[in-house]
Amino acid sequence: MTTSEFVLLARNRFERLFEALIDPARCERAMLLLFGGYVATWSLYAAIAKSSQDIHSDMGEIVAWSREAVIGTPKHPPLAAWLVRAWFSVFPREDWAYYLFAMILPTVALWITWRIAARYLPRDKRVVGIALLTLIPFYNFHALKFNVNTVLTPLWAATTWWFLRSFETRRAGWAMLAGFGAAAAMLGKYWSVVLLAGLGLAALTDPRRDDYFSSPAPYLTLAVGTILLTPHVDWMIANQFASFAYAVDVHPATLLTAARSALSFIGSSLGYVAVPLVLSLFAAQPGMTAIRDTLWPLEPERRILVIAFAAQFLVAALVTVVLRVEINSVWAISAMTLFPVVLLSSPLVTIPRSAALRLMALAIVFPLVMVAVSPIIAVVIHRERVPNHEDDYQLVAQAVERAWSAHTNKPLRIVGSFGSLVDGTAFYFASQPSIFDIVSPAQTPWVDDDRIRREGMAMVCPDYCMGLMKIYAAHYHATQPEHVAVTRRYFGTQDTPEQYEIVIILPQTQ
Amino acid sequence: MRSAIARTLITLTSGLVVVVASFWTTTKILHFWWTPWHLSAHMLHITEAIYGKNCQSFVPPPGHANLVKPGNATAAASLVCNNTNVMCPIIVDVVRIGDPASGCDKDFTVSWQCGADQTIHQIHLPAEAAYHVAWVSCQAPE
Repeated sequence: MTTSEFVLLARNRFERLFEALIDPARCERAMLLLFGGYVATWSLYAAIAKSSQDIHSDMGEIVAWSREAVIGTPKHPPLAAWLVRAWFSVFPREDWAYYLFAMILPTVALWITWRIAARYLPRDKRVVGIALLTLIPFYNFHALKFNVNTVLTPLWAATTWWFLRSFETRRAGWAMLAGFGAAAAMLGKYWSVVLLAGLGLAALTDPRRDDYFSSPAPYLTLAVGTILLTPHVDWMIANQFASFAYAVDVHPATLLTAARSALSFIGSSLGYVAVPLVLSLFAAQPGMTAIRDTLWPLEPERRILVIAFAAQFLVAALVTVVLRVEINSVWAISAMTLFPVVLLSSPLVTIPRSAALRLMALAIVFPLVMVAVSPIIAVVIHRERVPNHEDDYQLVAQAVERAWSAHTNKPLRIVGSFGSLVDGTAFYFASQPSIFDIVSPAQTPWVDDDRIRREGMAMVCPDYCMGLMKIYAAHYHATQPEHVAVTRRYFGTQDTPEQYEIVIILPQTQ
Repeated sequence: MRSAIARTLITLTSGLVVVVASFWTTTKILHFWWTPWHLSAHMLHITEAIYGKNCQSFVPPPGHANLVKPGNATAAASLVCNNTNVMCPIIVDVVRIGDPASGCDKDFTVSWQCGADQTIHQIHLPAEAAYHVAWVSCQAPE
């Protein structure tokens, strides 16, 4: 087959797919199949590209919480831990399964945007909108590192969708779902207050607000949201607001650095959407009237979308300055639900069919290209190494398990080390022990002095935390340090050995 | 205009009533089945941590301000050690705490209580305390 024949064949295939996606009878099934392929392709990419390293420590930390958390964790609300616990009660505790879970979340968010777009965009622009959204790294590269930010992507999308339906229809079902979504988002991360404030602002500034606020809908939303959040708030009060204090205290800032951080957040968010933004500008080539109508639509049905979308960023900036905290640009990950709808909903913005086809083709080909290059990425990662011992977690866990079983036949219940190492290794221990952060014990409150003495603990440290470990070891009369060197082998090459020391505190009931 | 303000106030009040009523009712139902979990009496609680107390009257070089104030390291120390009963290391992390008095060698003092006991325990690290470790504990020495 010649190149031109191949291009023609591909174009025909994309044409047929595009037809299916804009055909009301076939579009839902076709898009669901595409979403299935999207999850599979990006999960495969992660499984290959990250095969020379272990999971990120944030992912391990949530696994560690999932073994302990009931209605709260020391750092964040508990929803991410609940989801992980549910997932691994069905799927094996393997890296690929975790990446699959991580990719399902943004794909659910994409599907929700697809549903929202059905109300505001013509069929061809609905396809383009989803294609553009998949080009934002939040929906793939960032999403693969599951954490309390990525868990918000589908939760914010669902809350936005249900709120908009509730606002327009004022039906009890949508209103209750909006409350459910709001509570779920808050149980994902307190940062979701930014979304809720944004949606509240959108409702208050809409000319249809009297109809909405004189109906039972907003009060149903508030009641359901409050009822579902109350157990966590009750837990927070009993725990002296520890997880909320963490959210504020861990990112301290002065007024100046907070203001700089707010500006950087908005600038970085623009950077993240730059590719789809530029591509859509090229495709639509809108005039000034179309741009004006996009930024400030005359119809309230569209203007509420713009306000709901923009308010998230403005409220984020305001919260940053008022609370004097620094925010991370990645926290915009969950705020993109309405981006393609806002971008394309103006009737003055038209996308020629050929451009729409090309954008859809790009969105399909891009993940496939990433899968094709993923082995190279894996080799480069192996050669360059990754920070925070990320390529050693599994090997360190195995070494610690060997050292423990050489001293006792009791199950390993507690593993101690410093933050990222103990979080990352947690995923790989067969006995699924509790973790103990030797640098910050407040972050692992499920391990207390009595448990350490009763159940024993294995501690592991690289050279820079050995000083702390040795003081714990002396206090609890641990075994003599055992020196291990671990090195990861990948495609026949070994990386530089990393040195660790392991000490064992034997259980009292030995 | 006045009626619009009145409507907004009624809306906000109604919303607040719904939130308070929902919270109160759910809490009552929760506590009927579960005893609320409270922190153990032996948990450590940081009352104050200060970095650079010895530099409070220090005059920094031009362009720098003396920002030493009581409690300037309390949040950082609390994040590490609050609500644990395990011995706890507070590393004087100047990246997190900041440099409140540039050009002055700073000491570090941390105070804490254990559970309901009102006794204040204290540890002092002499200047320069940066990256040194203050071990705090609610356990009786062995």
